[in-house]
Amino acid sequence: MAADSGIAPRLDVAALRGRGRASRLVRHRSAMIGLVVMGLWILIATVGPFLVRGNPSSAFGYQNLSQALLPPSRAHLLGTDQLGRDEAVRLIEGARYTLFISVVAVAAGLAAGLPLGALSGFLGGRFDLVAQRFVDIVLAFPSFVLALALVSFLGTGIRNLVIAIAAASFPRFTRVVRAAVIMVMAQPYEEAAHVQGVRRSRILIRHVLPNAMPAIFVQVPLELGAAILTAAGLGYLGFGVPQPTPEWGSMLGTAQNYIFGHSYLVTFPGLCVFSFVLACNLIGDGLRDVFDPRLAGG
Amino acid sequence: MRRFLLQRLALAVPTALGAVTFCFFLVRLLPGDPARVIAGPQATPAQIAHLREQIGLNGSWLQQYVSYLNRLVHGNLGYSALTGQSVLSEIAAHAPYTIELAVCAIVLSTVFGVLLGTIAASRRETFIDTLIGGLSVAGVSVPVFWTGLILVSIFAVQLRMLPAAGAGSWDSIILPAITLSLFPLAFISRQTRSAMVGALSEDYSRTAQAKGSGWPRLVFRHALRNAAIPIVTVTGLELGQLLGGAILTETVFAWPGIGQLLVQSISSRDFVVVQGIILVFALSLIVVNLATDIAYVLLEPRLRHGR
Repeated sequence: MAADSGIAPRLDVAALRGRGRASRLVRHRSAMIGLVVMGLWILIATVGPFLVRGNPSSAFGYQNLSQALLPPSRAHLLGTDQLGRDEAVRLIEGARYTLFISVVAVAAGLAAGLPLGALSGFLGGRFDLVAQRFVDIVLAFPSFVLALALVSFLGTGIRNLVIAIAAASFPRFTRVVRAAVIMVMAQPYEEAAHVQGVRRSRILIRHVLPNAMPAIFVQVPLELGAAILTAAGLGYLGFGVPQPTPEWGSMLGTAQNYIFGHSYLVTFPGLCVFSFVLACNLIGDGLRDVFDPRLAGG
Repeated sequence: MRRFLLQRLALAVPTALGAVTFCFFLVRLLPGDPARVIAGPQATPAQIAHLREQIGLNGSWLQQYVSYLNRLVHGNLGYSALTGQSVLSEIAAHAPYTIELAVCAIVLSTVFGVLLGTIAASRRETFIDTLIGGLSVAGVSVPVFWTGLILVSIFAVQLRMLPAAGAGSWDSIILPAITLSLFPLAFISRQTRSAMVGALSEDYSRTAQAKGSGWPRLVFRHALRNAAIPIVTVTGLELGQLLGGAILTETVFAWPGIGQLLVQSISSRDFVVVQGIILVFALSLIVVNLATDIAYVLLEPRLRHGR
């Protein structure tokens, strides 16, 4: 799973120098499926809300009880919810929140994890020891439990949700970056730069980090998937984005009450979360295969 | 081996202390005066003062921290603001349900995960391998609570075969256990496949094949035993992460475990209970990781006899 890549991807740096990574990715069938699905969701999240602006269901606080709980039909493709709001419109609006929350949270997790992991691997010694013990402590909490704990004490809302998800993803980024940096440092060209008297900070920024990038590329989509799952899970429990914001997880939480007789309300938001996360994981797996040919096909 | 284990133990102690410290500060994240927030809007000043005394919010942070540690050492996790019961006894009352659920899920996921991964590896690059691979990616991508809701709508609402919620009868654990097992099952199957692909291409596997050992003997006696180490490591890691899934699964099925207690306590703003449960979760994860390390040593003869 995405959340558990404590085992850093093994990277063959020499192979990374090879050509045609993009073409290998294009020929990677499941990665392409993932990219297409992800592209569709990004399109829906960015353009979709403008298309449904005129629809009353997109207005905050809208309700029309005479239209409540209608099954899918031509007027309402995915049916209506308990307040008579069009389910499809709400799901399109929800895509925006899901994309925003997960992207910002993963960016924040990366922003914290990248420098800490890079310095930890590069400096080694006492800094590494202290930094990694700190990461150990954060990792002592199952990631969903950590996010839930932070949200329950900080309070709900988009900002706190982002903080909670970022806090859960940053230790994994730290570990992955650290492992990649240590592996790159063992390469002869790093030693050559060192012998030539290149400054340490320059070695880190110009030589080590660029070569450690593939490991980070692989991790980002996997973390994105994990972030979407965490956000949806918190939303389902009622600790995510407050109502009536159309967040997919909280829509599922409400829909649960109507599972007897209106199961379509449970089916569609779940499919949205599932397809989005699946796309992330397919892309992550594809990138790993492309960047690390040794792992490809086993 | 002893050195390895002692080393692991030495690392676990500061981690546990760090987790305790984190939980101590967690309550201080509450906006405003924690005692006032915990006591609720209707509390009298006297009640708030009493609560402040009870959860150790008086004095300097250092004094508070020392008294928190002191209470923990005596097994005192505080008292529920809602029921007045000790947090430890509340957790103890719900724990058996969570343990039962987790054990069922981990057994299901290990058995079927290893089985599917082994089949995929020995039928490498066939349709079956692709199918199992696809199912595994799907399994790690599906939200656990959605799986639960879908299973409820099929097996409880439509087919009326199994109970939708609660822990009233023997068959009520079936759906929650399947729900919780899917994620680790998919994960273990992927890990097993890659470990088995490696093991099956090793020299010893080729030797065994050349000497005429049949497929079951080759797979189970030679390859699987060598692939066991990464599989056990992953299973151990997943066991800890299972707690996160258990919170969601227990909520879907109204399963009266610790996860449900946690969610109810957050909803009713019973923060002392929340703090206690989160600490217990973290400490259990540390213990599970330590146990995984021990299993690793037991399985790896090079570590057992070396060092």
